[in-house]
Amino acid sequence: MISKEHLTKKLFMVEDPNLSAVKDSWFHNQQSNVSLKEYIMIADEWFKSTDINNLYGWESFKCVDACFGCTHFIESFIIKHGWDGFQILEDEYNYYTLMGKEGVSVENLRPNVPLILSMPNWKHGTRRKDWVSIVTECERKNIDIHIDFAWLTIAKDIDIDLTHPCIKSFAMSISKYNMSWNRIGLRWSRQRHMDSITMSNHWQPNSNTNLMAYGVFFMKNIERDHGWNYHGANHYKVCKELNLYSSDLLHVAFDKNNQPIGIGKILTELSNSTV
Amino acid sequence: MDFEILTFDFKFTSKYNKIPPNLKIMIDNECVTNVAVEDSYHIKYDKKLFFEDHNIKIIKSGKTNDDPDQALIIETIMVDNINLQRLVYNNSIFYPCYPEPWATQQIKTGNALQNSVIGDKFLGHDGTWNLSFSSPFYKFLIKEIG
Repeated sequence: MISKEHLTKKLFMVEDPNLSAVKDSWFHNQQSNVSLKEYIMIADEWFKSTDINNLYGWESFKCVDACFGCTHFIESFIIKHGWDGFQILEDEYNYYTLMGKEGVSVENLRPNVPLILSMPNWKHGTRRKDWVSIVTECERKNIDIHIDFAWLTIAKDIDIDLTHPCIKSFAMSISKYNMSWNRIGLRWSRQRHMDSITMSNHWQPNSNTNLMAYGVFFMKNIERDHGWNYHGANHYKVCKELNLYSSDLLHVAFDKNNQPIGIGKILTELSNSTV
Repeated sequence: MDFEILTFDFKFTSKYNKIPPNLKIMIDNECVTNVAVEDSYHIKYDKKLFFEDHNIKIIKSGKTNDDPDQALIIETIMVDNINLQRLVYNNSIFYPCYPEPWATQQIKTGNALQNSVIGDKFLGHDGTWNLSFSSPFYKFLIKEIG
């Protein structure tokens, strides 16, 4: 089962019997509705409950809104700033590049133009290694930073000081727990601006309540650090047996050429074999 | 947090033969700019606003009887990257100061002069243009436009 043939270039998420059982239970039992307010309160507490990452300064972000995954966060941000009104860095999530946006190096960041970046980063396998220089450059050039924390739920040892004044907003989602069918999440902002997420929360607060209801159901049944707590030992075992380097992303390892490689399929098979 | 920081973005053009119109912008009691608009004028301004009622004033001055064609045109007002066109048309009020002897002549010939004009972007007379809003701005937008 632990063989090189099961390594993937594409970085697949991990599935396991617990995650599947929660999904099955949701679809096979009667469920009740959840209000937006209740969802936000429960999700805020759940995302903050990680013991394996260190995010400081949540209290600076008092404006909390539901979002339909980090993609909603990204698209809301893009609509607000316009396609030419924001920038991304090299090695960014391909979502932007597929639509023609190219990343720039840290030293080529344009002053006064907001930056959106994913954290942790797929290519670095952890927090971007140039994070300190990014923050320094953004401070020097008056660049607002918006962070897509989509992969944080399956990461460990991510240290971020959110109190840095350049960081204006960030979002998280449950989608990486084999939940691409329900990308419910939260956005935290220092200040609430009028945009798609603000509108869906404050003008149409009853939109997609089924997503929020499942979000609450999921969070009541799956602990925040489930990924590493459940699959962590297997992650290291796979790396050891296949001579790979471990990363801080559950489903990613690095080969001897320092290229990211997917181990999500193997972890999924291992978890299914232990049932 | 009981305040927000909003970016105001104003664009103007002008018409005149001899003397350009003077433009003064006030947000609440703070003067944003006081300038003669010779052709076009663009200013961006960040303002800290507590969660309460606020007011933008555009004060046009400098018109004389020597230059009856002088005008200040409000091209766009953006707040937080949002064009306030609809609010400007529906909610703004311009209080013109009509020049003499023109105003008296108009009244004598039976033309009533309005004390205020709603939604005016072409300020042909001197006067004060006024737009009220409140913070948080997103809530104000939902209330007014939503």
